[in-house]
Amino acid sequence: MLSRTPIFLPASEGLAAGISLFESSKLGAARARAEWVQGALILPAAEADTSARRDRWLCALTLSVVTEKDQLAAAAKVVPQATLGSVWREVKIAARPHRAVEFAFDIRDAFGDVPKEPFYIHLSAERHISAIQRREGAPAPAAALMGKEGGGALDSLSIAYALCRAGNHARALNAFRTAFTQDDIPADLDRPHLFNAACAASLAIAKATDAPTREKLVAQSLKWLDEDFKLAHERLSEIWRELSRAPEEEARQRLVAQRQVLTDELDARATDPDLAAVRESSAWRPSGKPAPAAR
Amino acid sequence: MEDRHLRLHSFSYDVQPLSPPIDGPGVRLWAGKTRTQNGQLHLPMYATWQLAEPDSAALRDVGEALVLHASGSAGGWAEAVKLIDPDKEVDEYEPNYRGNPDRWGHPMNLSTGTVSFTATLPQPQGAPTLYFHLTLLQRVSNLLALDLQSGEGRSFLEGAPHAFPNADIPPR
Repeated sequence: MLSRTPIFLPASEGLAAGISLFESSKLGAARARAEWVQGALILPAAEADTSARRDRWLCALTLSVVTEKDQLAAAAKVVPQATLGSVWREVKIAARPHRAVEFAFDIRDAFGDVPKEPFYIHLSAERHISAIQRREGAPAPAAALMGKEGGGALDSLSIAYALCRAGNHARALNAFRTAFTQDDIPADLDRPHLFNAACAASLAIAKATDAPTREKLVAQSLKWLDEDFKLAHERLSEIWRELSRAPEEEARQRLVAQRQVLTDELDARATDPDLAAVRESSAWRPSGKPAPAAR
Repeated sequence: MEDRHLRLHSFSYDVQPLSPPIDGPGVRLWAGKTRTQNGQLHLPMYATWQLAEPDSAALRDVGEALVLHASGSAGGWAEAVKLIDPDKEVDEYEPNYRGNPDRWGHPMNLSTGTVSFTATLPQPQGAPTLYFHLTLLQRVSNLLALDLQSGEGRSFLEGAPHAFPNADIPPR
């Protein structure tokens, strides 16, 4: 998978320089609130003007958790569990240029579990500290979570990744399908959910006990890969069209950077080890296009 | 990733007369002069706080709710440690040994208070910058940045440098 803790594009409203933690209401049901951390890192443009500097800032992101009752404390770097090379966006704050990246990750990736009692979280990165958020303790054991896959699309997405983490890729597929009923989830290229779902299907093949199931999983994986490839292709074509209109230098640089990120990601997807089982199937096509019979 | 373990191996309650003032409700972190000994980095620090009475009354012991958060430069280590662990016994050979926890008996639930402590960690390779801040439940202190190469310290509030009335930590 590209990332089980995807880093997202920033929202463009209501942001301030530094680290902002978003309210967890976006994430839907209460069970998602304790686990997911979503926010943005926004810096003056001069401090994030090269990819090395931007990666350095991401590497500095530190998550701290302190329980309310006993003040048991833990801290961990965020990015070793996440992905570098994320897409940064230019934003203006008080008419000054800034660069911003939005992140989202699961606390369990850093600490393995969520405290049972209420707890406080905050993020720091060198001189920046976010506000502190209070979270209710872990509301549902993993087994209960795995039994409730019928919630909203974002809930389903959280469940899908939780199931993947637990190694239950076959069950994650239903959760991914539910999540993809919300149009903007599969269509958002910056959140590689379609690709990750294809990886989950591929990883499920190893545990399939019969040939028909394996074939279905190959077909499902290829279908998602195909959709992911089409979206990337459409976006690349759009970038080429915009570049051909001779945009201003700033816009041109942004488009070129986006094009590079997309092509790099497509290259990485072609060799992702999670897709080994699909690659070995007769339906695999190196171009990323599935054979007609597999669709 | 660096493998570092921060230890807070001394603290005392008798620093009030020498501790720096705090000018309003909140939590502040101060640092003294860093020294190295036997491959260990010793960072003397003070935590001071001022809380409205209802807030401090809601906490059984303010000192025990203070947590020190530390991290190395980008990609380095990160730790969060309770400043005072009521169950922790300080070895007699440590410099600020005050007896066993049940004999400390100092009333910490005051609206204003200070704790001094020494953070100790293995001497980092290279010359990284170390970052420290405190939290007290939903309150967060200023952030100290200690640059081991230049020996400089800086203090930030909400990401912006601010004046810091401590000779060891010049603002810049």
